Amino acid sequence: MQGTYVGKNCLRVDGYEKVTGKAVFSADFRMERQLYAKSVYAPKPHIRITAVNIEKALRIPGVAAVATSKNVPGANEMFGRFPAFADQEAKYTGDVIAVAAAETREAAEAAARAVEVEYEELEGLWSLDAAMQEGVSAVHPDVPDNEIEYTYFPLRKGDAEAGFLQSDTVMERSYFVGWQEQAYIEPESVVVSPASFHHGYDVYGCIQNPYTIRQNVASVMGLHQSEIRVVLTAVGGSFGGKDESVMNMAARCAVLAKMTGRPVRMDLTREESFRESSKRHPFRMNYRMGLAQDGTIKALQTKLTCQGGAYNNKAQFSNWRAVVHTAGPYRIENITADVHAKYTNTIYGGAYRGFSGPQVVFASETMVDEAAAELGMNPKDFRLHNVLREGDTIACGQLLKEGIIAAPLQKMIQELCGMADFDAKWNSFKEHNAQSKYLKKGIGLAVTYRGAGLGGEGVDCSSAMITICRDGSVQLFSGHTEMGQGMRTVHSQIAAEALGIDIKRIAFKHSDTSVTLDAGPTVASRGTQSGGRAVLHAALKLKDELLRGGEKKTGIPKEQLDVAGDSLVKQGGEVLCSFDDLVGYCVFPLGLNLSAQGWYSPGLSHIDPETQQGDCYQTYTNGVIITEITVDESTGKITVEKITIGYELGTAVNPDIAYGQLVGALAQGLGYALFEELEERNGELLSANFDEYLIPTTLDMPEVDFHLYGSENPEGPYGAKGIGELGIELIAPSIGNALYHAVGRRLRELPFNLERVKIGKALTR
Amino acid sequence: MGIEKYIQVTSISEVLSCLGGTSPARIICGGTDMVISLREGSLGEHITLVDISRVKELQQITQDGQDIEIGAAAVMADIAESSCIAESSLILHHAARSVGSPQIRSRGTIGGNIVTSAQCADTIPALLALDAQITLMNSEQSVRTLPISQFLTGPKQTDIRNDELLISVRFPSLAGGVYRGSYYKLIRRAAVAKSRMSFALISAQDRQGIVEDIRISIGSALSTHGRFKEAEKMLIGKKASLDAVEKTAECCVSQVVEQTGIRWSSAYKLPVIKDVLCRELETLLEMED
Amino acid sequence: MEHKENKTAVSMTVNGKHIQAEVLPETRLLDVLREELHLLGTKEGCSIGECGACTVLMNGRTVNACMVLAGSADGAEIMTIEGVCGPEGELHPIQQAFIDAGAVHCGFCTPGMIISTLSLLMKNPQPKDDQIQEALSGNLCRCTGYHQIFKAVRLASERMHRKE
Ligand code: FES
Ligand code: FES
Repeated sequence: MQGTYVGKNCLRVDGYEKVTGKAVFSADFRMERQLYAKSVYAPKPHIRITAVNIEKALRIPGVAAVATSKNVPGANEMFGRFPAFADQEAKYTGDVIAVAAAETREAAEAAARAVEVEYEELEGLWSLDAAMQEGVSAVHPDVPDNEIEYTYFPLRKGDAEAGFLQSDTVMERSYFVGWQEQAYIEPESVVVSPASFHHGYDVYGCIQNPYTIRQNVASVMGLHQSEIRVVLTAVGGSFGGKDESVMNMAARCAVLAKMTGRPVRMDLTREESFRESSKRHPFRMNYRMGLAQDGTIKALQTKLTCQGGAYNNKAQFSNWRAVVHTAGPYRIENITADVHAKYTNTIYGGAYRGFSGPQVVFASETMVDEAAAELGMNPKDFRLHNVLREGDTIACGQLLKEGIIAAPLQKMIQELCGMADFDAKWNSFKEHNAQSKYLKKGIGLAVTYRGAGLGGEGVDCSSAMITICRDGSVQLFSGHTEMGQGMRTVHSQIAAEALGIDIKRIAFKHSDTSVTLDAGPTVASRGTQSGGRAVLHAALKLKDELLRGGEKKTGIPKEQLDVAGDSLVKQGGEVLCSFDDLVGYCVFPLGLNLSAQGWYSPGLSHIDPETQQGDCYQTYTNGVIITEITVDESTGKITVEKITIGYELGTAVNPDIAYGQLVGALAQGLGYALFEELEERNGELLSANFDEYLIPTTLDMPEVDFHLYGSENPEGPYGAKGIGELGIELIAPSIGNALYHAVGRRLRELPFNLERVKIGKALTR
Repeated sequence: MGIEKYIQVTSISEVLSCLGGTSPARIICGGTDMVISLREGSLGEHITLVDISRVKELQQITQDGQDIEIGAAAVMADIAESSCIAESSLILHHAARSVGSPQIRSRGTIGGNIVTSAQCADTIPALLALDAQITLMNSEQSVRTLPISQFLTGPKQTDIRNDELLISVRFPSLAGGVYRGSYYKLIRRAAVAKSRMSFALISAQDRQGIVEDIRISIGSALSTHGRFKEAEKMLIGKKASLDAVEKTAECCVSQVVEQTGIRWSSAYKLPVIKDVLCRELETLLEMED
Repeated sequence: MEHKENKTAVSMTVNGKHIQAEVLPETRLLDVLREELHLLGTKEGCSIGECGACTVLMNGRTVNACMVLAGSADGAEIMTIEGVCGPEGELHPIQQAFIDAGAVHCGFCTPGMIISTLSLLMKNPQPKDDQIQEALSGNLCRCTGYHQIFKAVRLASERMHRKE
């Protein structure tokens, strides 16, 4: 839709502060008398701790306190088994045994170095493949098989075995992807202070999910959630990552704030951030596909295993998403899919843009390409033959029906392949490659659909609050958080549209758990789709109140009134009074309540736990990518030359912001595909900063030909769907498919680094 | 932490007077390596740092007859932007341009690149191919000149003595003659990353296509930086052909194996050395079909 | 509360103002700016010269302030993001272009990006696309995928050109 604001490219509401350097990020937020905290990490990834001696550390000048598990007033264990302080055992390299707080950063560092940890080294489960073996050690003694709780989900549709029997060809393939770091440019930082106006603690920082932090800090401190206040600073990117690590940091700093009675800040170095923060989960993905000679996919069986790491509070959600999307956007009648997750003595998986999407889409879109090649079909024709269309049911049994869940992929594949000149290039590149000794060209295709919002991962609730001040200015609060994705702007646009006012009246307020309602985490692209609905709900409630005031003021029934263009108007457009006057009248003499709470929850989805059949997501977004690459056969280096990409995502409330989100996600996907790799050795990280862990630079970005496809999403505000995540999952398989086209070699592991492309395998130091 | 004293100087003689003493003094210029060592705590204790970044005499890029001389404290940005370098030694121009990011090139110096002598130093292969000479001066102000190939003695090791300062690097200009060159740096992404390997080549052929001169140097291939003289000899005096090029490349690979043995990275590096050399030589040389 | 007393005095011009500070020899320019002068617009993302969040102009060239010891900056002329605005806080055309082109997402890389853009446009007022990419290659951004940043630089270049 197109409105006054919705569907338009309004400028970011937080631009001025950010281009002038005035925006206050967590490391810029300073408090009087603040102390600096430094962590003592596990000296080896898996140890039994026999003694912790802090005497020497305490004698360092300027040290105020050193905290260990002994100082925790409440529960030492948080959600997902994370310990505030590792106590008897450290289970991975990022476990923190003690934290020193001091007057200066240098003194805190010196004190952390002076803490003596005595320990015995233990054997560890260092990889997913190791954890998948029988009879291995247990990371948590109460979980002998290392199967992470509540992470097993079966999906059953039709009769897979019968489908395989009807198949002419059955193919089996195994795919693997490793960790990916969110690599926000701002490292984590928090400040925790004894509360100024009440009993308890205030937490400030770059935080993705303030309510999770509040809950866990409260439990570590043995306090009520109402006694913890979490306030956000500007957040320098998060992409799912500023969650567990910040929770741990906040809890530890709170303990020190209690011990010292002073504000305590902790700023992670980049290396510490790599060590302590969550990553995208690794997955081993085994696929078995049955095909008929005419190219029809008859059956699919998949077995997905996720590496959770030492602790876990996300795999129970991401695994469900993985299994539901395992089949890709294809009409497959017979599917059996299972997903598991394992504990290991390594860094842990958490949320990262796309959740488990990029992993399974890599497997499924490579598998589909392999199937096409096996049958000697063009990958485009194979996909067109099998892709979901109107009237089909998807893997979890939902019916694709016009006006409910769109099925635009067939059309999108055709149009976008046309725009990218796919067929012509498919042939001309082959001719080129026959002539060219070193540089080979390839073109690859990938297609995806993605459940938008939380779906069956949990109960989706969003909150917002809008208050009109006496002078007609407007405060907007959202339970969701701005991390750079442009949500403040999008929410302001929705509120301005619904209230019929100038967007300049709206001041978007920082998230503050003492003001906003618990809206759960800002994940799964919920900010717009679900959070926007809450804003809309609040705005419409307020508008109703304003019109009630208008009726009293003018004597015209409110059904015939509207607020539009910053004025009270009569139907037909006659201006009756300014918005300021209307607000003034509502305040005095009417005394109306010009504040409204918005709430949105679609309720729990109905899904059969034995088969995952049900209403998994309210709606789906769709995407198609065509990627052109050049491969240097002498070095194995891939250069991505051009991307043609189309997304269907309902109404883009702000097309520029949607574009930015999607291209940003593409860049992250490009890094995932080509060079982002966390090297580990026996649980220790070998790449822990941007010299070893490479993310795309300006020069890595190819030309992007970008197309938005509209459709109406009856559930989203003004037809919008979430946009944050789709962009990241398409690019890796499309590059792999282009690589196959270019050189005839198939890679089934990411990233496609120099070694894998050149010699078919990665090398370890 | 480690630094006891930080001394700023503006002339060569001032630097030299700091070097003679008993307490260890370390030279700092751009700091792009030093600040990292400092952060890692690997610099040592009680260090005196002598900052030479304001010594103008050490920053010049000059032409002296046929020779080009670059002061040790010349920054990569200056070298990359110098028309004198672009004309006289295109491969060094490319090497300097490939160093780090613009920010790093504003600070990093050629002297730092040489003295640190890291495996992945970007300018060293180019300087080796250019037959560069190193000029050093000691606290008594006596000058020592030697070929860069002799100066680089091992992994991260050079022949610099405690009281010596690297003054400049000097090489004959290749401008206007029959020389051609190529520089190729292999990295894991499009730009700004540590070199995986770098290849510097210089060639000259006569009218008949006979190779008169060929110089091959590869960064991150040998444990001690150096040229591939054996392989070079195989080509000199011969007509360039696909076959000759391939044999030359294979000879380089054998030299690498001989010097470094087989390592974890050999499975990748050896075929790359061969293929990139073939590719680069095929483009560089006029070949008979 | 210092545990060491070998401080030295450094002086420099920062955003046109002459400043003096007493620092330890290992203090970095970044620490002088952020901790001594409270110029918090310059950010720290990696501390090893890889991300460019700490980019400032030093004697007219971009440097990573995390890689420069304060002593090396003694006597230097420094410009940070705080010095880019006009005296009344008016936005520089580059800053306005970053807003208009949607080049600011989380904003953490933005100060460094703007400084690198400034340095580029001073030397080369009408850069070609590949020159823009090259000039910003030392500034990592994880949010935007860079295309909106390129657009901002082109926009700023056009507007500044038209003004002249
Ligand atoms: S903080 Fe200086 S370059 Fe990253
Ligand atoms: S805008 Fe977030 S890092 Fe660039």
